[in-house]
Amino acid sequence: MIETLAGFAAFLALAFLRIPLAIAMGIVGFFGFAYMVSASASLAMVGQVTYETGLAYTLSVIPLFILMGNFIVRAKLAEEIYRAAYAFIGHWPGGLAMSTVVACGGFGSICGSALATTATFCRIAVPSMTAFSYKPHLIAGTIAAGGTLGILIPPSLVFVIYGIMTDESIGRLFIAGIIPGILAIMLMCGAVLFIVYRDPEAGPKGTRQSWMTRLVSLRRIWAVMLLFVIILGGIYAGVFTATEGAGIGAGGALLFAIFLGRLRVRELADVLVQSAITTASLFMILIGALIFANFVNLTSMPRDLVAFIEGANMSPSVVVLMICAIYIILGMAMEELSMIALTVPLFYPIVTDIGYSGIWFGVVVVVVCQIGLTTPPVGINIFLVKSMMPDLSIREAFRGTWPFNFALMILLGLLILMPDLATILVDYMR
Amino acid sequence: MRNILSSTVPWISAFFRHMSAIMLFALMMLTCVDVLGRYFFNHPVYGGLELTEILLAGMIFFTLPLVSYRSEHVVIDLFTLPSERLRLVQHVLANLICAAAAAVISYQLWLRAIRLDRAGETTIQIQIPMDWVAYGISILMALTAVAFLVRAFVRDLHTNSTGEIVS
Repeated sequence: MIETLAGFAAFLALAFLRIPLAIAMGIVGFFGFAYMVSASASLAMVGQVTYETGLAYTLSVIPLFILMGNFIVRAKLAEEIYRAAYAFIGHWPGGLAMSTVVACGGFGSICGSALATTATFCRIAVPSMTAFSYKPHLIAGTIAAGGTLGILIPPSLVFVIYGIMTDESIGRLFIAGIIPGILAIMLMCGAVLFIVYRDPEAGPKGTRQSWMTRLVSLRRIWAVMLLFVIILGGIYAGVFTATEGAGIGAGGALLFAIFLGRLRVRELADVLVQSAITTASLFMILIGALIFANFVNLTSMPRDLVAFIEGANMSPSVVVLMICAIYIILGMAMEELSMIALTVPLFYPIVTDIGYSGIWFGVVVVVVCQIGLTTPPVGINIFLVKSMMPDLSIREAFRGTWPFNFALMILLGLLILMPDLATILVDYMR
Repeated sequence: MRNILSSTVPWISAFFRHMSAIMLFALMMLTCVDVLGRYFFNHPVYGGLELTEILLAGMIFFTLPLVSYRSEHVVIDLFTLPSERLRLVQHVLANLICAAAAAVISYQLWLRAIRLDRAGETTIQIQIPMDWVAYGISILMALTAVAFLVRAFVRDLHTNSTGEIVS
């Protein structure tokens, strides 16, 4: 118990020294393992984890999904989704903001990264909402929160990392994200309605579109639907694994980027390098987290926690609420993927021990990450939006996100009350 | 020193960028061809699994020196130290620690490569000697350590996304 707490403290100290999180986790894990076993065993462990993680076939899913997302961005499909969403709901109060949320969800169904989704919609939705004189806090809140749908709606990098750390099936996690994802879209639209109800000036109505325009706009998003159906349908029907789906998705997205977005060879190289860099830094985090997990698993901490919870006779939902609270606090300070990689090995045994499904916990973790992405002081999404809206003050931006975070809290509550929301589709999988 | 760096870094960085781009592209093509071959022609790529693994490792370890040199690792960016001198100490110290960690990993990978070499281990289908792979990633990890070292002492040398030095 003490060793693990000391380990976490040392990790935080190193992280605040601005040592990359991956290396900070690795260093603590290495010294911790050396203290528990021996220095030579620890050295061998570090070498083995690095070697095996680098050469793990199943992990090729990571670069492929990252690549797919980056190609999708170049294929300019987001514009078409946005247009279609606007054609249907743009004339409602706050319609452009709701269109943004819906379009983020649609984009999230082919892109697995919250950052890529947010960055894309910063480019598209900021100019159009500004043109309709939306209030800056609503613009910022909508895009920052809507962008987080990228990790809840499958495919999702966070599910991939969670699946790797816990050995849960990535395909099943993806399927589990579908219903909560749709709920999140609806709840966030509710948040927009709430904002414009309090201040109708914040988000004026758009113009109503004819059914003809609507149908035409739907026809334009065929590429998105095709990719989604092939990948998720293939995974759901058991035709391919998540890795194979990611490969097909990346290949398909490349074709769309060339034919719809006119990707040039020169840009192709840039996309590849950018994806490789994202992948490599993610792999370092994984390697660091696995080294750290090897140390934590040697200590009595996981068993102590389980015993403590069993002894304290707490109800399962209270335990989950406590874990969520820890995640929300951690999520304020830490980058989300590293947070999961670092903490899931500790919490996963507890949650499964008290009778929850590991798939369900994966969905819960993603929703808390979504909140973490838009809360101060390290809400990465907020800073992305701010980089597109230089006049926006950080306070204003965070003011814009709280109704959306409240919506996500409701989703979290629903998930805890009705775990079936996440698991029902998975139960019907082959 | 600075002159040597500013004339060589763009070349070195271009080399690593091209290697990682080629490997990632190959990885994607290989997965696609493998899946299509399996489902439509009932014939997966011979040795597809092991090629995927090697390409994955190659891509990651060729990219790591770039990531390290460009300081693109994920860090916690909450506090900025008050004085310039303290920030400099912090920067040098953090990069030195990272360089040491990378060096240790590189050495462990080298030892592993020697063991694989002695055992004469190869991949199952196309018989690629595994020690080559291990030696390769050990060397790339050593270069990552070098990248951290350069970063520690050359603070104001910034490269943009195309690898040109901008300051």
